[in-house]
Amino acid sequence: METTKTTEAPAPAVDDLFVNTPIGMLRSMQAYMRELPELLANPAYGGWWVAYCGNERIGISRTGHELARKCAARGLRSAECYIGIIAPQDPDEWVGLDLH
Amino acid sequence: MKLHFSYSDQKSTIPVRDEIIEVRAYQMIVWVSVVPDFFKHWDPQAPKLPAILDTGNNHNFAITKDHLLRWAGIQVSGLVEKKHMRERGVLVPLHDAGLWLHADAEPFNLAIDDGIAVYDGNWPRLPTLGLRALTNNGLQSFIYGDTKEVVIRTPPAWWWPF
Repeated sequence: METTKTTEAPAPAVDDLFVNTPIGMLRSMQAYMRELPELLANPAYGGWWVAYCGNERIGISRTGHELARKCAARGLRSAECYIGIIAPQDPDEWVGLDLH
Repeated sequence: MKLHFSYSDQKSTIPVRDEIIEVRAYQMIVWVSVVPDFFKHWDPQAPKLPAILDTGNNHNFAITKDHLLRWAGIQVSGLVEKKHMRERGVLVPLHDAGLWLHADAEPFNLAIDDGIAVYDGNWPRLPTLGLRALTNNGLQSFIYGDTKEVVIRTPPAWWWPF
């Protein structure tokens, strides 16, 4: 009798379009880009910063360093997070990120 | 945070590590430190390197691989690549890094959301600190052409008159 061993495919370590970017950071950037329009709609956040770890929003703050401290305090590494400013972004600087 | 420095209308030189670097007339030089991790606290051992304050540059910080290695002691392969920006049709990688501006009292941590641009080849001639880094960190910059002095500071907590 032949037995077939099925294994679950491991989660990809990298994205096929961004092979040099850690997957955690990439997913965090995508969450940032996805939610940016909503954040921009609130003028109270203009010029503030927002941090993501994957799809989780870690926080919103006036300064990026405050969020970096917050992420570090949670034991997160910078390679799995994205801390971005709440301001309109130039699509030319986000090449291909919207393809996924 | 306050940084007060002067610039010259004459060519001059500055020492960087064991090199003498030419600073051209009207170039405003600030001193920065690049460290591999945005999350890390200030490391007093981090080398200082010069950067041209270029308010015409629309990005955060630009440096060549060679300067990054020689002056900051960092291999670009040790910096996480974040994304790319398109410049004159060419994709330039942006790397995650911590950037500290040496101010009058103590270094100031510049929050850099998009990372720093690291170039192959020999351009830019000197590292460049762009307007985005000043803007996103809410810094005020004053250029006094009459005395050839520059002040970069965080906004004061209050204004006069009230």
